[in-house]
Formats: sequence, C-alpha cells, structure tokens
Amino acid sequence: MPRDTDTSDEQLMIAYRDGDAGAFDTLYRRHKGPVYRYMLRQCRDAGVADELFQDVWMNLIRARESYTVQAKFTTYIYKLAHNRLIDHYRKHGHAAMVSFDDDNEDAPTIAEPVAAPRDEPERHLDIKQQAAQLLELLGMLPEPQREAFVMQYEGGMSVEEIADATGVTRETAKSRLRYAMAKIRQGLATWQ
Amino acid sequence: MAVNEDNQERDPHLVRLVQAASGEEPPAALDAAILAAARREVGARPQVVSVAGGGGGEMPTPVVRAKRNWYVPVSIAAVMVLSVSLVLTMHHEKGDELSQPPKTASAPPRSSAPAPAAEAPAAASEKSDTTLRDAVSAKAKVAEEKRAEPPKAADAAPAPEAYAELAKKQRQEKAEAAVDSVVVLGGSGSARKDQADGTLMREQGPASGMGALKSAPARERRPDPFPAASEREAPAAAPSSAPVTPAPTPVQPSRDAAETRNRSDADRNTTRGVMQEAPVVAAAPSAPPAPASSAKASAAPGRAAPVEDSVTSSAPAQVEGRVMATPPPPPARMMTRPAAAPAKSAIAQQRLPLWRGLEDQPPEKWLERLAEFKRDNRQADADELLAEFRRRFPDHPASVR
Repeated sequence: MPRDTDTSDEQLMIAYRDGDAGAFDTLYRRHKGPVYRYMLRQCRDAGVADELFQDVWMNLIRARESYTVQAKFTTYIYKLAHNRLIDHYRKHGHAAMVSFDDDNEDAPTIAEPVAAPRDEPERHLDIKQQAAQLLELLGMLPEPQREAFVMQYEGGMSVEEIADATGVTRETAKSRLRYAMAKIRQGLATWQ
Repeated sequence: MAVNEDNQERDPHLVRLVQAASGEEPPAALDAAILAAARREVGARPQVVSVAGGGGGEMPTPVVRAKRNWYVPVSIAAVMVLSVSLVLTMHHEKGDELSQPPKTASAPPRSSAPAPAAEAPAAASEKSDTTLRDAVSAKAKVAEEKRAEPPKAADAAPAPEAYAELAKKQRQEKAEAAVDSVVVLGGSGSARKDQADGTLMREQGPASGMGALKSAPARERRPDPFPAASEREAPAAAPSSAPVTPAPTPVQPSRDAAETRNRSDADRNTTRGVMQEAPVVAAAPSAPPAPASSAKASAAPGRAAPVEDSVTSSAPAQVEGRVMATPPPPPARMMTRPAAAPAKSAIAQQRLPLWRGLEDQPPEKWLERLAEFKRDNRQADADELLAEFRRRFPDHPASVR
C-alpha cells in the first residue's frame, strides 16, 4: 500500500514490526541512498559498501520485533550502520575510527570562503565540478570527521543525533563537524 | 533531505554540493534481495489482518498482525494432555510392577520350588526326614565299620572262587525266599512288587538297585532292625571277638560324600535284607515262632546263616565263622540285597519307628531308650535312635558329643 510522506519513519517501522511489508518498502526507499552513500564514503569500496549496506538492513529486519521508538529512526539506522562499520574495521585491523584524535584544538582553522556571484549555466557547471571536488575533500578527511559530516549532510542529523549514533558526546560530535567543515571549505575556496 | 534544528549550522552551498554528489545508489539486485528478505521475514509468520492507526490516528492503515491467538492455548493443552498421559502410563506400569514382585524379585527355580512342597508338604518332609535319617545312620555305620576293620583289607577283593560259591548260595537262597514270601503273604501285590523290584535290582546291579530302593516309600526303606532278629543275633554276637561298640563318634568326612552315601545305603539295605529275612520266616503262620526259625536257620545253613555271614564277614574265606564283625564285600552285598526285597515291605508294614512314643518326649527319655538299646546290645537300634536324636536335638550335649 502506498505511503504518503506524512507517515513518519517510526510509524513505518512499527508497522513493519507488526507485519506490514509495505511499510518496510517505504522506509527502505527513503533511507537506502543516504545509508548506502554513508557506507560508500566511509569504506570507499563499492563491494564492501554493498555488503555492509545489506548487513545493516538485514540486521534491521531481524531486529524488527524488538524495535521500540526510543529515538528517531534515522539515528537508529545510522547507529546500526556505524556499529557494522566498526565491526568491519575491527575485523580488518582498521583502527582509524577509534584511535583518531579528532579533538585536537591545535588543528588549523580554515576561514570560510565567501561565495562570489556567478551566472546560472556557469554556476551549474561549477556545482558539478565542486561536487566532485567535495568528494575528493571528503576522502581526505579523517574518518570520524567524514562520518559526522556525512551523517549531517546526507542523513540530515543533528549534532545530538550524530553523537547518539556514533556513541560519543555532543561536544565531540560538534568538534568533528567543525573540523570537517573547515577543511572542506578551505578546499572549496579555490572554486569560489 | 530532512532538516533538523541544527539546520542553521548547515551550509546551503554544501547542501547543494552534497545533493549534486549523491548520485550513488545501491544496486537493484541488492534492493531486491533486501526487500525480499523483509517480506520473507514477515511472511514467515502467519498474520492476522488488523487495522492500526497511523499518523496520529488521522489515517487508519490496515496492518497484517502476526498474532495467533489460538496458538498458545492449543500448545498448553497439548502439553497438558501429553503430561497427564505420560504420568498415567508410568503410574500404570509402576502398579503392574508392584503387583507382580515375585516374577522379577525371585529366580524361577526358587519360586517353583515351594510350589510342589506346598502341594505335598507332609510327603516331602517325611521323605526328607527319612533320607536324612538314613544318611546319618549310614554314616554312623560306615564310621563304625571303619573302626572295626583295617582300612584297606576291607576293600580287598575276595577270591573269585569264594565269590562264585557265594553267588550260588545266594541264588538258591533268593529263590527260596521268594517262595516263602509268596507263601507268607499269600501272593499279595506288594510282595510280588517287591520281588519284582528285587529281581530288577539284581539284574541291574547295585546302582540301579539303589535307585529302585530310593523310589520306594520311605517307611519301607528305613533300616529298622527286627527285634527278634536282634535278640536272636545278640547271643551270637556276644561271644564274637569284635562286638560293635556304640561310640557316638562323628562321621568321618574323609571319603567322597556320594561314595560314602551309596556304600552306606547299600550296606544298610544288605543288612536289612539279611535281618528281615528271618522275620519273614518267623512271621509265617505255618512256622513256629522263634525255635522254628532258629531251627530252620540252623537246619538250613545255606539259607539264612550263609547270607548273614556273607553280609557281616570281612572276607569270604571266613564266611562260616564270623558274624557281624566287618562289613561285607561289595559282591556279596549285590547278591543279598534282592533276596531281602520281598520280605521288606511286609516287615515294614508291621514295624514301627524306634522312637515311637518319644516324639513329644524330652531328650532324657530319648537317652533312656538309647541306654536301653545299648544295654540290650542293640547297636543298630541304638545308632539309629542316636541319629534321630541328633537330628531332633542338635544342640543337646549328647548330640554334640
């Protein structure tokens, strides 16, 4: 049965918990892209991203009967994704997510560039180029900062939700976001 | 993309760039696999269609619920039925086991043994008593004989000539005894039967004769000495050089038990045959009581006296001279046993146990009668009475001695 956009994620998940397979379809269509890109940005391997992405949703399917609304569904699904990613890192000896000190106050502060006015066609071309540049910059970010940035800009999550999903304090999540934003703006300053 | 309260921190330009860069999507196969798994997970459980309110009750949404209200009660009922049936079955089996304990507790031979004994308790006890009594008296006699004769000389084989002559005499004697028994008993069935038994024993040898004797009634097999014969033998035995001393010594268990028992039974039967032969003659209506029998015995030495000698003498060469001195050799016993058989039943019918009247008496009475037998030199009677006394009063000091 088609769902309208007013049905919240939590209601859809509850409906699926109670046996409504259509609710899961709607839920999946809403979040499959951001979650997939989150995985793809983090592990930077399409094959691994596919595997991890499938595992995340399968874990959600298996845990449907125990689902209760304790937070936003977005936080719930990204927490699953984060945990799966941590397991993947631990399994392959990747310790960057847990050992990286992203609270370094001595990190260089990148001044926010000021956007210059441009024409529309030219601007459209620039956006595509800037998007490609953004992806390159994201790849250069530390993984916790990148994770926080992707969660905010792909998942639309707040700082608190990011902190909840990643298991860190709000300040830590906010600091990660600040550093990520500074580096990205510094990298994109050449286009502006 | 959802917008939250931290939206003011999000850069609109970055948002546009992210949207422009977000062209990656999961493969369609992966989508299909995940959606199929989701449907399979839901479809694995039977569902009941119900209506759930969605969006704060604004849009009721039909939801298939996976509730089976009948599942739990039916499961509980099934478990209860199984439990009750199992308990009842176990209880029933346990009850069966308790109701039939002897089948499993006792062995078949033990359980089957009391049944015949219960059917014929009197006969069994009497038979066992008689057998025991016979065995005890026979052992006592064997011990007695062992004391009286040299150990090896008694078992020495007699000369073949003496055996032949003795056998001849025995055959004549048996023929005459058979005629006498027929005359005395008037050709009764029991006499004929005993005669037939004797013939059978003679033909089959001592072993089969023993079997025939054992199969006979217990009262007939008891070696009760005939009083008249004992009294008649007493004067003859008195001057003999080897009178039997009634020392109540225990039976020597040196030989094999079976051999000893067979031999003692044979000796007893032989002795009984010899000693019962005279009463048959004496009890005959046509014959005079004691003088006639003694005269008959003396007038016909080939009948009674040789047999008696053959039974009691230790060597065939000394058959004529010795009486009741040593046990007879085995061949003589074989010959004499069948001859005594015809008169045995008649005598046994007239005889009573030596301890008649003493069954309910104290041990002192038994000892008095025992002393009386010894005083009368009735050694065989004394031995038999002593054996019975020992059997009845095993704890008495006299029995222990």
